This record gives sequence, C-alpha cells and structure tokens, in this order.
Amino acid sequence: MNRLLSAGFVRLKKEKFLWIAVIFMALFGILMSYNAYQYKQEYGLEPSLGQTLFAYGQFVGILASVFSGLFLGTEYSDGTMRNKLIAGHRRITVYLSGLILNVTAALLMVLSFQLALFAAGALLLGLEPFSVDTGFLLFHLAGGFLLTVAYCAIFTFISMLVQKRAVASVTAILVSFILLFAGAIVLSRLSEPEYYSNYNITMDSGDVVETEREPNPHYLRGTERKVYEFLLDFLPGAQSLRLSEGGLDHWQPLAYSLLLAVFFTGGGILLFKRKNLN
Amino acid sequence: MEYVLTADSLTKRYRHFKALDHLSLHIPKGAIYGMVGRNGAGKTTLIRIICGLQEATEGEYTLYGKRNTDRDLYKSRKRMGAVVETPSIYLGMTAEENLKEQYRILGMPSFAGIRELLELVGLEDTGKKKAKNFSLGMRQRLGIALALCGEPDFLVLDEPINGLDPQGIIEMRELILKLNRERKITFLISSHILDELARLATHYGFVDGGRMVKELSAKELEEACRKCMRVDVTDVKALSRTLDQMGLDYNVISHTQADIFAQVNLSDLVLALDRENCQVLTASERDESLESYFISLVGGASHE
Repeated sequence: MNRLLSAGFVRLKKEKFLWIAVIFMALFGILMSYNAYQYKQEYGLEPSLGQTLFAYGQFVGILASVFSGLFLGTEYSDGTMRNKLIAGHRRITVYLSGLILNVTAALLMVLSFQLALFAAGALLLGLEPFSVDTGFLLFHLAGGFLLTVAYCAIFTFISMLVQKRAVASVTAILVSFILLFAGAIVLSRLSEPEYYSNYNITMDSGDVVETEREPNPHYLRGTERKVYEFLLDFLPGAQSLRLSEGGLDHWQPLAYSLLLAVFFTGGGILLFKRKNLN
Repeated sequence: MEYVLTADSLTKRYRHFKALDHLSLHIPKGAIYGMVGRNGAGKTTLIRIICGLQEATEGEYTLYGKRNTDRDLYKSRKRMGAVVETPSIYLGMTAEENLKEQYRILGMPSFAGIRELLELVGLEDTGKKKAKNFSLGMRQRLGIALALCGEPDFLVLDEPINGLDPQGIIEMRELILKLNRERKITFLISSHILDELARLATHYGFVDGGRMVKELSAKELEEACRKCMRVDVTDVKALSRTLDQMGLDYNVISHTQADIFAQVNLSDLVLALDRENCQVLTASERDESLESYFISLVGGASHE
C-alpha cells in the first residue's frame, strides 16, 4: 500500500485539475471574506465568518467528482492499472490507495478554501468574526470530513468500476449534481411553512379586513415528512447544503456519511476484486 | 525440463462465449515462446489471466511453481513483467518520469538503473518530451522498459510489433533477442505476424478457438517444415523399398503419397521404381513455412 501511495502522491502533485480546484476554492474563500467585509462597510454590522468556514460544502462534491473521474480514470485510459496488478499488488490495496488519494485531494481543496477565507477575513476584519463555539466548530469539522470521505467513496466506486474514463467522469459529475439537486429539493420541501401568514386587505371603502391564516397544502405531514427528514440527514447533497450554512445540529448525518463511505468502499472492493480488467 | 509457466485446462467464459476452452501450455525456462493464433483465438485472454487481470472460469496455471489458487502467487508475479495490448504508460509524463513511477510502485530503493533502461530501449534522448508525443514504436519500447523495471525473469509481450514500421520491427526483434541472450529472460510473445515470430521463437504454441492445437520446439517445427519432394506413386510399398535401398530419408503420407527429404535424381528414382513395377504419377517440391504449417494445423477457413 505504501508503495502505491508513494507513487500516487507524486502523480497527485502533477495533476493539473487538483491545482485548478485548489485555486478555485482559495478564490472562493477570499470572495466570501470580501463579501463579509462589504457587508460590514454597508450596514456597519459585525459579520460572522465562523460558519462561513464550511461554505465549501456546496462545491466539494462536484469538485471531488471531477477530480476522481480524471485522476483514477487515467489509470484505465493509460492502462497503468495493469502495471500495479502485474507488479503483484492486491486489488484491495489498489482500490484503497485510490480512495485515500481521492480523499487527500478533496481535503486539500477544503483546506485551501478555509485557509484563504481565514487569511483574507483576518486581514480585512480581524479575528473577531471567527469566534465561534468550540463544540460547533469541532462538530462541523467532523461533519465536513465525513461528508468529504462519503463523497470520495461514492466517486471512487464509480471511477474504479467503470473502465472508460469519459463514462466514469460524466457519471461521477452527474451523480454529484443529482445528489445536490435532490438535497436542495428535500431542503426546500421541508422549509415550507405550515401556514400561510395572515395579511390585511384594505377595501375600496377604506375598511381593513384581516384574513384568516391558511394551512399550506405543500407542507409535509406524517410519514411523508418523516421520510423527507430522513433524506435530509441521509443524502450527501442535503448534508452539503446544511454544512455550508453551518446547520448540522445532530449526529445522524455524520453517522450516515460514515455508513455511506463504508458501504460504497466495501461494495466497491468486492466488485473490483471480481472485475475482468482489460 | 524446468517450466516458468504451465497452464492446465484453462477455461474462460464470458456469459455464453467461451474465450478459452481447456487450454494447456508449457513455457520452458529461457525460451522465447511464440503463441500463434488468429485474432480472437484467445491469446490476449490467456495473457490477461496470467497477469492477474482476469480470473479463469476453470482450470489452473502455475507461475514459478505457485498455483493460481495459492495466496502467495503475487510473489511469483513480481518476477514477471508484461505489455498487454497497448503499452501501459502515463501519457502525461516523460519516459524517465514513467520509469520513476514504476520504480515507486515496485518499491525499488533507488532510481539507479533508469538511465541504463532508457539506453537499452533507445529512449535516452527523449528528455522532457511527454509520452503522448511519442511514436507508436517509442511507446512500445517504453512499455517494455517499464516491464523490465525490477529486473524480471519472465516477460510477456502481447502483439509487440503491431503497428510498428519496418525499422521499429527490427529494433524490437533485436531487443528481444538481446534480453533473452544477455539477461536470460524467458519470453511469452503472442503474435499473428508469423514471419516475424519465426525469426525469434525457440518454442511455439498454436492456439485456435481457445484451445492449444499444438506445442512444439523450433527444432521440431523445422523438421516438420523442412524442404521435401512429394511424390504420388501407384505402389507406396515399392517406393519405400526403393528409398530404403537408396538410403534416403522419407515420410509416407498415404498409400499413394510420400515426402522425400533429400535432393533426388528423378530419372534414377523413376527407373528404380519401374523395376519394382511402380509408376510415378506426380512429383512436386514442397517448402512448408510457419504460415502454411499453421494453416494446415488450424485450417484455412474462417480466416479474418
């Protein structure tokens, strides 16, 4: 495994897309800090950048999917996967080394965002906007880490089992968008208010009539609401959106991320072991 | 005889298609084993199985004394290198970077030997040129250099001269012969370019329809293909007696036909046979090549 990782890290350093993604995330972090600075200038209010540290959540899945398809897909398109197996490496170590490299790359992107945000924020606004509860910080750091690992496990699964790089890349990117959209839909359905607020109507005569508040027909109730609440915790896309708002408030999403990572890695290794490689 | 690789009744099925059908194979140590077969005969499937890229459906093989079912087969795999179909190289890297990457994969303690490998395959002057800009021949040679990392004792080359120009073919042939003679590397070479294989191989395996039709050494093949005169006579027994008296080497094909492996004075032979009341109906010179031997083994039909 160490040999494969040693070779993989050298390749990682040469991977152009990784550095493009790292720069993109750093610029995104700087932009977020600048927005907060402008907000302070405009409204005179102290912005909070503590939870903005996790705004990477909305991008990390997409970037990890592109990276995985390109980086691991090259092993098939260039045929170099064969060299590792002929050299006597076991399939399980080949698979796991691919996953570790994917996770490393995704965490580098995350780190790049957080460091750039912190550096630019501290420069423009000082350290005060970053003061957050330690529990919140640790919980979201753990949540972000597990979510990143879950994403990488899913995309490693796709990239290691689909032998055509273009197909693997497109599939991984599509899955990342589908997960994000599914998460957005779930979040939006659960955000529906239970009642429409009451409002006042001024009649032609000048009389003001107050309307009754009306129940919202789109509000989810009963089992349907429970299913959506489960999906909100379970789907990586929904977790991404909640993480980016600093909205992880219980342990279940973290457990589901771990479960997804274990499920896709275990299943991926089993299938990869039986796979006929060309 | 000591064998590097033996296969016994290997079978590989893809759903309803049988790519290998109880194929057996024996590669002696130090040999250049030419695996001959038309496209789709099962050559690449066999190589993929030996390299651990695919599992056989039935049967077994032994590589350096380790069976494919042994848990430590991977130790034997470390003694082999392979170029399967296209060369397995990172196209975005230079030749040297590719070799360094392979050294890391193999866990070699240092990069010593990379320069020598580049010189061996004639790629020492490629500098910063990336492999994607290499010609097909250069890529093929880099693929072999990668397979040679770790100093393997057994090299598997799948169609190594496919797509090479005449100069590239000569260079590849010389490289294989040099490695076999100087480094005592055993080769398994699959090819359907028979003339080229005939210049290299010390042993042959003829594969057709996923089966091993025949295995023989180059010497045995030479015997089978040597120049002869095929004669059609009315009495093959009389012909045998006459040829025995004349001290000539021959082989009876049927009750009217025989091959004579010598320069024969046809007039003398006809007169001698006439005394035995035997007539010569036809006489033709035969010079069987590897190609015609292959055709006679597997039949000419259904050629692509």
